[in-house]
Amino acid sequence: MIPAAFDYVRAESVDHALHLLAEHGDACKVLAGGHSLLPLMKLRLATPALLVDVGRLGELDYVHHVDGELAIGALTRYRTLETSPVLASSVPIMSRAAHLVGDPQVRHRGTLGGALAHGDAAGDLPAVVLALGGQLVARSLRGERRLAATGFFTGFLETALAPDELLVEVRVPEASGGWSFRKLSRRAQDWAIVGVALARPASADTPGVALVNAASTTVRAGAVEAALRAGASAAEAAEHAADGLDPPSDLHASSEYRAHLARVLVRRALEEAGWS
Amino acid sequence: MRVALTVNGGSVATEVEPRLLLVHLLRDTLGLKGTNVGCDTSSCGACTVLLDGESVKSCTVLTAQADGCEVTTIEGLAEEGSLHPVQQAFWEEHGLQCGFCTPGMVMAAVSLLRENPRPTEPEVREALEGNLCRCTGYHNIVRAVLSAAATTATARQPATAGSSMRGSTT
Amino acid sequence: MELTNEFTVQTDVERAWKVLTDIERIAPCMPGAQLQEIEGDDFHGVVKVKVGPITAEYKGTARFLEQDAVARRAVIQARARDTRGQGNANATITAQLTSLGDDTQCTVVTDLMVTGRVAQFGRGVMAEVTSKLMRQFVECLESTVLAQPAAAETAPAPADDRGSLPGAGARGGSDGAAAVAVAEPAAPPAASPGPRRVEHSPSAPVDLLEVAGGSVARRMVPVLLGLAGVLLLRRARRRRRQPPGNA
Repeated sequence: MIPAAFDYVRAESVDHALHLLAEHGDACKVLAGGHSLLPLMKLRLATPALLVDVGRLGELDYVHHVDGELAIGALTRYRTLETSPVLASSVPIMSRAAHLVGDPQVRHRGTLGGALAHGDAAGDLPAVVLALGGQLVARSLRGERRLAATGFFTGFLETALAPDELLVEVRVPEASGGWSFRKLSRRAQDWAIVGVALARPASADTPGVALVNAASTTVRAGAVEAALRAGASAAEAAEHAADGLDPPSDLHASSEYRAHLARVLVRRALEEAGWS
Repeated sequence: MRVALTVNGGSVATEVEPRLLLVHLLRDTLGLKGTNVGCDTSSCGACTVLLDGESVKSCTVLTAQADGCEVTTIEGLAEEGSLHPVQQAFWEEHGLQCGFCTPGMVMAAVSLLRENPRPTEPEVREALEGNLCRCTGYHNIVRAVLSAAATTATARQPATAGSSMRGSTT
Repeated sequence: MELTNEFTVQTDVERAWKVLTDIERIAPCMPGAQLQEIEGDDFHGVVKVKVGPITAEYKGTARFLEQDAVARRAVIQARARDTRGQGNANATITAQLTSLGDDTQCTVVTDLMVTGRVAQFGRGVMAEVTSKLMRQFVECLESTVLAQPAAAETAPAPADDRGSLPGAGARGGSDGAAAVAVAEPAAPPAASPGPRRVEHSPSAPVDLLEVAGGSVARRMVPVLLGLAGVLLLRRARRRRRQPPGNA
């Protein structure tokens, strides 16, 4: 399948990219790793008139440890996240989740920023960033703003990014305590039917829990988190995994099965993370 | 738009539409038919090539994104008439039947061994997640990759005068 | 699949019936829709939608199969196809109005049948999307068509009440959403034997990124649009080719 024709420009710098976004707004799409956008374009479900390729902006490819936080450039590839010693020691859930994304070929191209900006509920890294209570740094010609991960994912493939904004950095707190990332797929490299990201930043007493593919956006399992804060056991808290959620129903699983899976995986994740 | 890249060591400069996928540049513009289009939905890996040494699915890369890069296809592996160790191993271990997935498998294996020269069997299986095979059941493919790893590891031992390569430990 | 939506308008049931069965009148309130032509009992139009990176356009026809003014029940049949050939969507929509005194409750049951790519779409998201679109539709109705004095719409000839509708900003408070200006029809409908072009401005594609907000989760793809998007992609990603020969 061949995408519909489009114009292409490679951003030479972040500033160049921002000017292009300001000029073209909705008419253009940012291309990073391309492994969410290009498949959509090949199916002609997406037909942007202009692609702004930010894939060579090396200045957005980094992992820095700064004052108890990790600052990760939006262009950092999954492969880098997977192999980063800094992440392995300070936010191991991110290394693990990056390792489980797709397959090696996808991980050589896909980026953290791309995954977050695309806003697919079935994506793994968005759930990790959400569970960690991370922040996303968005830049435009109008300035820079930090968006909390909570509330960033506003709908099916929709985020709080404005059309002229470029996601430049992701900030997550250190979280080397009990953590777990689990997902269930029927076949290798499948998207998760449901997944759970569970991590406890150093500053928190109870973990953040976020779900992959249990709703039409990446969501936190708020009821589970509340139960844990109230002192519930892992088994008790896990029972609330699907509270308030309407999991999607599709060819892979029914809504009921996804709700059930969420409860099971949350319990296993809690146990793996050392909560009983 | 104009692109210039290196394919299998040779320079290529040409005019392309922005939407030309890398796999189509390789197959249709350059006539390198070894790279196959399988699923076209980024799943099967039959289109796997090396982009600056890393395996990528060329059906999900625009030629424009490969501008200025080095691309290696299956045709670019063998050197001067002798097969690449991975190709040799696939032959010896019967790691193929119809051969359609094979170029992608070989390129993925080459990339794997660059990143992890001594993989365990589970690591090989996991690393080939992005490559689907309908014929073999993967068993001999995994054996081929492990065999290639052993051969390559052995060959990497520094050669000292009079010593034999065979049987050296790593 | 069957999708049910319910909404209440702050208008008595008789007026609500009159308004809601006047497709030409309420078409401007349909999110992302543009009514293009009325041919006898058939209403032809297009609906454009944008969900994140995905856009789609459906072209189709709607007509009343039943209109029971006593029971206040109408059945509409809609058939549409994606203009880029990505599937069809057919729906039988049954709307029932119930009087709640000064207000009217409207229950809409949609029997939706989709083919092509659309068919892979999960039921849950479609249901959410139709609810969302219903909400927008009702908000629009409340602020435009239903907000008018009753006298303006008793005249039988559409030309009379057409001109009194407000112009742009069909949906209060939202920008970038369908902004339509309703103009006079080209010819008096009663006399014209052939299809009547309707001069509604083309709507900007509904961009639900800009509409509503706050805590309302924005889901996409209206009933007629098969934006399988990522869901489709997952299906497509797992679709294996047939084995080339014996496997």
